[in-house]
Order: sequence, then C-alpha cells, then structure tokens
Amino acid sequence: MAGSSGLAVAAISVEQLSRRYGRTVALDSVSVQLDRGVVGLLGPNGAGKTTLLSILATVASPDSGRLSVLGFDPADPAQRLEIRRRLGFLPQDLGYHRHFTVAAFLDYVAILKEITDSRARRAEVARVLAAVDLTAKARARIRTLSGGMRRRLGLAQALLGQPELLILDEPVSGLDPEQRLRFRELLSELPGDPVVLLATHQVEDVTAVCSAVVVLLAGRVRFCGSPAELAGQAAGRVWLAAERHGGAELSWRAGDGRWRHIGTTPPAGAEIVAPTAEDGYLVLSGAAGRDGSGA
Amino acid sequence: MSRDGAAVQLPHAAAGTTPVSRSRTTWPGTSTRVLALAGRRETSWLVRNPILIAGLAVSAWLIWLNNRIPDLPLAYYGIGQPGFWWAADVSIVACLLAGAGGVLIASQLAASRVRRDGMEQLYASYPTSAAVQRGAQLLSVTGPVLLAAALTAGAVAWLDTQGTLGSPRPWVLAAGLLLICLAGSVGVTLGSWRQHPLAGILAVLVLGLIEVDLVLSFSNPVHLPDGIAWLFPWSAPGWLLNSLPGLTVPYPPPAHLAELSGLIVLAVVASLWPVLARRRVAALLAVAGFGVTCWSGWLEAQPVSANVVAAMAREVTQPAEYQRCQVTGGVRYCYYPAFRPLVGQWAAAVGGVLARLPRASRQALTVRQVWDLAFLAPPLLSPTGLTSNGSPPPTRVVTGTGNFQQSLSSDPGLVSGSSAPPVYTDASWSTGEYLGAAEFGLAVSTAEWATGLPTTGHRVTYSYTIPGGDGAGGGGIAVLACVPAGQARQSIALWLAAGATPATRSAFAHLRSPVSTQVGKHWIATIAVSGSGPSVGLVATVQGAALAAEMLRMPARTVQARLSARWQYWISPQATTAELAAALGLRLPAQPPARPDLPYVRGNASYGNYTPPTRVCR
Repeated sequence: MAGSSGLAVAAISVEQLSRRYGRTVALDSVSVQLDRGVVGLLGPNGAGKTTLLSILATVASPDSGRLSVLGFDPADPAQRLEIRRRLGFLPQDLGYHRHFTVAAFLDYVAILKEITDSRARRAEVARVLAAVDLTAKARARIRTLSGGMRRRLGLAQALLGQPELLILDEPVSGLDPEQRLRFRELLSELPGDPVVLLATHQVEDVTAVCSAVVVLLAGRVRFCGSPAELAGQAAGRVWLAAERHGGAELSWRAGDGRWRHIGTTPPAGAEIVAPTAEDGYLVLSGAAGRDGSGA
Repeated sequence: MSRDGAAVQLPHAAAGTTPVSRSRTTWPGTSTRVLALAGRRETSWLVRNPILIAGLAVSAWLIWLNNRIPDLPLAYYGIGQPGFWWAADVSIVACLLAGAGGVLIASQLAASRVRRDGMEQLYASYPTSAAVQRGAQLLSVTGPVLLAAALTAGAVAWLDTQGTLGSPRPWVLAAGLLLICLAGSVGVTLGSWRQHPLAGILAVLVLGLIEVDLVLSFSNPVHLPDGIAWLFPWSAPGWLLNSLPGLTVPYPPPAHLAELSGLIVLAVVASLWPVLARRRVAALLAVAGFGVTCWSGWLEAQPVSANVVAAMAREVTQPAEYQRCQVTGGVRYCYYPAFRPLVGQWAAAVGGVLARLPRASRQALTVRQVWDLAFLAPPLLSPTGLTSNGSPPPTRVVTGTGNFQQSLSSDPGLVSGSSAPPVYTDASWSTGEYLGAAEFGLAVSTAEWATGLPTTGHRVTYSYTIPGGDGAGGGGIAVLACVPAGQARQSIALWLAAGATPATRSAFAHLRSPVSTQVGKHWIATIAVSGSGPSVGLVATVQGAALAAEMLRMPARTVQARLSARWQYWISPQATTAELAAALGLRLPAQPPARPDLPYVRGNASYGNYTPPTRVCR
C-alpha cells in the first residue's frame, strides 16, 4: 500500500516537522529523509530525539509538518495501522509487567502484533528470545530479571514479527560491554533490510553499526550523513600536544600522557590527527553551543 | 552533509523484505482473532489473580457458613431447619457479592496494568487498537463469570444434598452471574480511568458499606432511604428471605435482570468510549443501556401489586386451593408442593403414634400444612421500601391474614377439610439433631387428636395488676391450652407421642423442668410440651407426664392390650390417672405442689410474666 503523502521515495521522509510541549520547543522544523539501513540518532539530553522517535513510531503527533514512514502517512488511521504492522518500537523509559513471565509477555505482545497462528507465534517468541540471549529465562518472572535483561526483553518485543522499521530509543543503556557487542551483532544480523533508527549517547555504537548518522541539537537537525562524514566535521581541528593549549575548546589527557585538543585554530606546529566521529559530534555540539542553541 | 534542517538523502537505499507471518484480512477478521486470543490470555491471568480467587473463596465460605450458622444476616431459616430453594437461591446470589468485590478489584488492576507499568506508549505502537485491547480485558470477565457459574453449580448441588426444599430458580441464579459480570465490567471501566492499585479496593469498600447499610440496616446516620434501594441491584436483604415462595426477591425478576444487563452495557460503553474511533453505535448502546436501567429501576420501585399480595394472602388463608394431598400409611397429608420431600418424615412420626392405637379406634386423619406467622410477616404485614416502596399492603389483606394467623391456634374449624381436632404442621420442620423435637411435636399433636385432646387453645382477654406495684400491670389477649389435670388421656397421649420413634422417645426424656400453671383458682405443677405448627401443644401435669414415663418402661404391646379393651373410656375426660396406673399395675407418681408464679415488684423493678388462668380440658 503506497502512502498518499506524495513525499520522496525515502523510507522515512520528514518535512518541516515541529512539536512543542508548552513553551518548550522539542522539534523545530525538522526535515530529513532516511533510507534503509541502521541510522544513528545522536544528540544530548533534551535535543528532541525521543520526541522525533515517538512521532515516527506513531505514538505521538506533530504540531505541524509532513511525514511519510515506509510510504505511509501516519496522520491517516488506515495508513497508521500499516506502519504499526511493520514497526518494532523500544521506548526509552519502558516499564514492565513485573509478575508476567518472559515468555507470556512476549506471547501476548506477539498476539497484539497480529501473529495469531499459535505455531508461528511460538517460533517467533523462541527466535527473539534466542536473539537477545534470554532463552534460559523464558519461564522466569520479569521481576526477577536484572536491568540489563529487562532491556534485552524490551528489545525482544521490538523484534517480534521481523519489523520493517525498528525504532530503538537508548537500546543499550544498562547493557554490559559484552551485551553491547551482542547488540551490535544482532543489528548486523537482522533479516531483510529494515530501517533501524537508533537513538543513543554512545557515539562508538553509532560508528560501529550505523550506515548513517543524524545529529539533533535543540530540536533541529544539525547533521545528517555517514559516520565518516561526521568525523570529517572535525577535520583539521583535532591535535595532540605535550601541554594543554588554552585556545582549545575541549582538551583531555590521552592514555599516552599527551593532550588531545579540539578547537577551531590549532597552534602552529601542532600535531594534527585524524578525527573520530565523536570528535565530529563534539565539534557540532560545541558549535551549537556557541550559536546559543545548544542543548 | 546537511545542516540546520536541510534534507539529505542517505546511502544504502534498498528494497526491504518483511517475512512476517501476520494475520491478514480473512474471516474472521484479524481484529476478531486478536480479540479472541488476547481475551483468552487476559482471562487466564485474571482468573489467577489471588484477590479474585480469595473473593470467590469467601463466597463459597459464606454459602457454607450460611447453612451452618443460621443466625447470620443472610440466613433464611431457623436452627436445624431445612433450607428453601426459593430463599437459598437468593442467598447464593447474595454470597456472590464477596466474589464480585474480588472480581472488581482484580479487573481494575488488570485494566490499569499498562498505564500503571508505564507501557502506554509501547502498547500504543502495536497494530492492535486500544479498543481491541480494552475489549480483550472486557472479554476476560467471562473467566470469573465461568468460575462463579461453577461455584453456583457446586452450591446448588451441595444444598440439594442437604435436603433443601423446592427448586432453584435459574433466573435468580442468573442474576448472580450478571452481578459478577457487572463487577468485572465496572472494574475494567475503573481501571481505564484510574490506574492506582487502591482504586478498585476503595470502590469495593464504598459499595460494601452501602451494601451493609442496605442489608443490615444499622441505625447509622448514613442509612439510605429504602425507596432508592433499587439503585443497588446487588442488594439482597436478608429479612425478606424467609417469606413465601414467589416473593423472596425485592424486585420483579425480569426487571432485575434487565437492570443488571443495562448497567453492564453502560459499564462496557464507558470503558470503551475513550478508545473508540466510531462512537455512534456505542452512543446508541449507552442510551439503550441507560433507558433499560431507568425503566427497570422504575419497575422495581413500584410497590408489590395488590394482586400479588392478595394471592399470597389467599395462599395462606385458603391452603386447600394451593396444596396437594397424598395418602401415606392410611393418613392424608396435605402440603404445599415444595414440601413433598418432608411427607416421609412426617409419616414416620404420625405412623408411630397410630401404630400404638387400638386397631378398632383408628379413624381417618388429615395432617395439613399451614404457614405460621414467622414465615408470613415480613412481606405481607410489614411494609418495607424494597417490597412496597413504603406503601403498606391493603388493610383488608393485612387484617384478614392477621386474623387467620391468630385463629389458627384457637379455632379448630378454621381450615376446612382438616381433622377434628386439626393436626397441623408448618414449614418449620427440622433436620439433624433437631429432627427429634420436630417429630415429637407432630407426634404430640397426632396423639392429642387420637385421645380427643384439643390441639387448639381458647382465647382469653385479660388484665392484671402487680401487688404492691402502685398500679403497675398490663393486659392483652392470650391463647391458652387447657390442662387435662388428673385425666388418664394426658399420660396416654404422651405415651403415644414419646413412643412413636426413637427420636421422640429421646425428646420426651429431655422435656423441660416443671412450671406452675394456674388452672381456675389452683396452681398446678405442669410440663408444657410443644405441638406442631400453630397448635398450642399439651400442658400435662407432672404426675401425668411421670406416669407416661412409667408406661414407656412397660412393653408397648402390654400397654396397648390393656388400653384396647376400654379405649373409649380411657380417652374420655372421666378416666383418671389413678385408674390408669391401677389398670396398668403401676404405682401412681406423686404430683408435686406448685407455688404461685406471678409478677412481683422488688425495688423499683418488676419481675416475672403474667399468664392468665386456664381451664381443665373437657
């Protein structure tokens, strides 16, 4: 079913999207087009990431702007339903039915995702449990799970039904390093070619798995490109020195004892080094701060 | 690269595949199948809720308790009496109130689970609409309804084995299941508004207080007017339950079921309203539910019709028109149809007496069932808000029924087609350890009939003053039994009654202590023995009772043989206890002296009761 928005053929197309909460501007004329693949959404707290993801997940409405998700217009109830049929969503602050067992919760969610064939539902629950490494906990009550396990359970419910669009808000928070690596592996092994929107504070996760990055600052899209392009934002602005340089915007002592600086004008003779995506993000957020619009 | 809102096309565009084995638009529709599946899951969780299970367990316990401790507010019979289905079914429904409370709390907790657990956004992202999710929770109420149905069926089976008389009425029991359904629907509605875990408990407390206020009618300041009691259709006032068959519920049954159904519809619409996309049908349903509730409430608020009251009164005053008769052991038993199972027990006591009579002296006997005042008073004689909305029954009916009740114990010819003297039994038959007393009462009345002693008393109007009481005293009307002082037939009657069955022999052995009875101007030590139904019983002298006890120690055939020869003489007022003792070769027991038993004054208080003098039986 084709959407009626008439927007571009991108998997997700956002035009002039705005959303306010009282006097607070959460999204300010956001426009972006995203195609299939894993897209990282970076931004400080309060940048509008969760609001944008909630709107894309059809659980919140924008005040203005146009939106097309997988070719469907969320404003239309019938098309919104089609989006939800293709959606896997992990909210940032997810509660749990503590007295449910893991399997019972997933089975119920699978029903709500319209997997009505019992055999298919059982297989799907088993699949997502294995994917998040919770098979051994299938019969455990959710209240007995650790915080990391609960987050993985949240991820499991999002994966049910092999969604075409996966929206994950802070999916790795609370996960230990090993589980974070498992998460990266999981994203890499997703069947089909889904659109994955991943909101996170972990720039290294974005660099590791994302084909594209969107940086959201103060409700506006400040960057949209590949991780390499994000790193390129800091090209020529990162240097190493034995002493701390007062003109740098950010400085920290690296593991080898030398100071790593980020700034607009490296001093003469400074050892310019290749920037990382994190450097690029810091440059962007620093620039936004200087513009007076940083979060 | 793009900055500040400039749209950018990202790389890696590719056509996606979606291997999701989801349901699609086949019949039954996806929503229907999801509703059924989710409803089943919700049901399985709901019925395992400990609060719900506890509520239904309390219901079961109350049903059991109600049949063990009849002094409870919901009890509908006296100690040791068999239950009546026309009251027991209402009682079962009343006991389900506890279960309904548990269902309300559990369903409120289930319906508010998503909000309480902070999962609203997540559930909103699923393709299943909020209306279907709420519908599944409403559907889950079928679980507790089925549990309540099983509990009701179990209670019916158990009470049936306890000898409960009559038949359970399906439409009354159905009200209990609708009550559970209503509680669940209200719980879901409440849960959709309030997610606090105490909301359901508070609701049950409020409703419970209203129920207690309605049923127990404590004299508290928040007592609800009886006229609005129909607004609380779960109420089943205990004081109505021991009435006649046909009017044991304070409302027309169809109207009551309609009211519960209307309220269920309103609760369902209220719970679905916020999540419905199209509300026209829901609005129509709400209007219909509201209309049905108002209409049925209006019907329930109407006083019991004069025709119904008159029919009930006629059922009491003209028993022959409503009773069936059957001959068992040569005796004709006339009873209200529901009491047929008791005929065998009546026949045991009556047959035991008749078996000791000389064959030649046996006459046709009719044992007739009549209603005593206790079974009649609440619905007919005491106007209440629930039965009559405050309007008293027609005066003619009240007067006529009251006169009939008073005359039962004093007018031997009141009920046509009865024996002379009449042998009555009533609805107050007993079971278990109390069966002996019931059998003995009927055996005494039968023995009185057999020996020509009256089973009815004589009515006297009296007044008295207490000596030294500064004019204190009183007066009234009393129905008094005569005393067959010195007459042989008192001992023969007691011998006949006590020897009827092993239980009557035991009951005779446990007769109460003597009392002083004023006969004419003399005081005599007597023993009062209850008869059956409204009969006044037998007031025998201590000597006569003692002689009967001596007779019981002799072989029954010996006594029977010696009495047979001059039976008509022995049952005449002229035959004396002394002659009887001599004829049987027994020593005549002594008659102890009796002290006057009159009210007296001590200090500022008066003590004792006054009983006017009676007369010797003729």
